Amino acid sequence: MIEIRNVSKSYNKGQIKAVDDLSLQVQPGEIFGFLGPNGAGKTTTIKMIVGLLEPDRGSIVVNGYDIRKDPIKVRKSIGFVPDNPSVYERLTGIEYLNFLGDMYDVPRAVRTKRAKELLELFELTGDVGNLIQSYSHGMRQKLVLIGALLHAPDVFVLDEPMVGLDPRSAHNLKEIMSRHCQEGKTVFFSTHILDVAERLCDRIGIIRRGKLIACGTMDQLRHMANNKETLENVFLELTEQ
Amino acid sequence: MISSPLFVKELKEAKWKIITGLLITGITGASLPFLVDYLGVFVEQMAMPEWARSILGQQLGNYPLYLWSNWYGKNLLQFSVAFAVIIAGPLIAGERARNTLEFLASRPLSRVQIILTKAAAGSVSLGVIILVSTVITLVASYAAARPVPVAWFMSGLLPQYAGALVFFNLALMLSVRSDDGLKAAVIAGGIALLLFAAEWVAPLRGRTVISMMAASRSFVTGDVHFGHLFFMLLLALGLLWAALTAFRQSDV
Ligand SMILES: Nc1ncnc2c1ncn2[C@@H]1O[C@H](COP(=O)(O)OP(=O)(O)OP(=O)(O)O)[C@@H](O)[C@H]1O
Ligand SMILES: [Mg+2]
Repeated sequence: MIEIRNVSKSYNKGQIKAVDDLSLQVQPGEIFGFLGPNGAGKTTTIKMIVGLLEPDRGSIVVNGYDIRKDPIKVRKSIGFVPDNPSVYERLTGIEYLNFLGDMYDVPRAVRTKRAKELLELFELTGDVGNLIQSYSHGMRQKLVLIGALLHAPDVFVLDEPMVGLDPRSAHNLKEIMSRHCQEGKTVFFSTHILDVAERLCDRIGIIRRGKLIACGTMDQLRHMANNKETLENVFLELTEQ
Repeated sequence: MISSPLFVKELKEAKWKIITGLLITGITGASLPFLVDYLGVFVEQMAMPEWARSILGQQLGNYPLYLWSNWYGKNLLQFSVAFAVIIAGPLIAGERARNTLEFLASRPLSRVQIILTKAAAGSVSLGVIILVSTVITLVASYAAARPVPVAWFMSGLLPQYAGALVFFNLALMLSVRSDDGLKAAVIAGGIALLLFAAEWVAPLRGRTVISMMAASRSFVTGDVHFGHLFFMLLLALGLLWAALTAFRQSDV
């Protein structure tokens, strides 16, 4: 569960208002898609959820824990995939995964089993012994995904996770996200790929210049626009000047 | 307070720095007992100012003086300071530059844990280099049939390490606000160089951290100067505190 209440955040001492009085809720068992033009405030919102940025105003509660009062517990219940897959180049893939497993106290046996499944799913088994500096962008992205799932988090937060993934991996990721929410867990992700959002999400939020301008199921969003054919039409219409 | 997974990862990443550091300091230390013979030839044949000839002459006649002043007063002193800033400079800044600081800061670790763990791992790496190379120097002395009292010689390590921690935490403090680990190391190294230079200014001589590290008085008396030791440890702790405070306030 994610609960964002009246959150604002600005950069450069208030000059750039990145998120402006944002409120939204994502329930357990729900996949929530976060859309918006470049610079709308998606990454800023996500960074506040995972505790990288502190909101100027408002509150965020994840899994029942307030990010200000219980930051560690919040981060422990989140699996986070950032928008750029920067990982420790001098570690091998398996060292990286073990590092994460240790940090989240995942028991060895559970960790090995999960890592094996995920590595096979993302076709990374053969590369996991190599140094990460030899990985391609997509391979790093997959490794970060696997790492984020290793502790079976209750809340899965992803910032543009499809970038750089090959079609099969993108498909597998969508499967994982669906499975995750069927298990009663929460998925929150930002994306520019509207097809994916349309097909995958239970609810969609559209943010523009830091403000949530629309939020609801596909049907509800359609009602807000004149041209209701695809999410693309709706998005273009709603985000127009 | 310390996160052991992070500690292990830090040591893994520092592996090559430790190995390189050990090679350079170890070889230098091991050659000291054998170079003393060449020093004699050098003093006889080279043209040099009278005062230099007299200092070198003294060292030649007194092997413990030669060993202490060259190891703790010169070679290890320079290496300790250099490795302190080289290890600490990139600790935070390097992660920021590689975009991995966000990775760390979004894990279930507090800022305090991150910096204390990194400081601990770095101090251990530095300590290993300083300790092992000094033991190598001592062993080489015995191998060259020039024994020196073990406890006496090893006592020089205490001020040496305490002073190295001062420069380590200075570089760490600079690292916290920077995204350039090399720059943090160079600035901290520059401050150390100024202190080296201050040894030439009469009123400052013997009063800088650098001279406290060399501990020439301990050489004479055989006692550790606990006042100096305490002063350096306090300074190191103060700098660590400053680094911690800055890190809690800074953006990742
Ligand atoms: N570190 C920063 N310093 C100053 N301004 C920033 C910073 N990060 C983001 N901004 C500004 O905040 C606003 C929101 O940025 P954000 O990265 O959240 O957008 P986004 O919706 O993720 O965009 P994109 O789709 O391009 O990823 C933008 O105007 C951006 O210029
Ligand atoms: Mg973004």
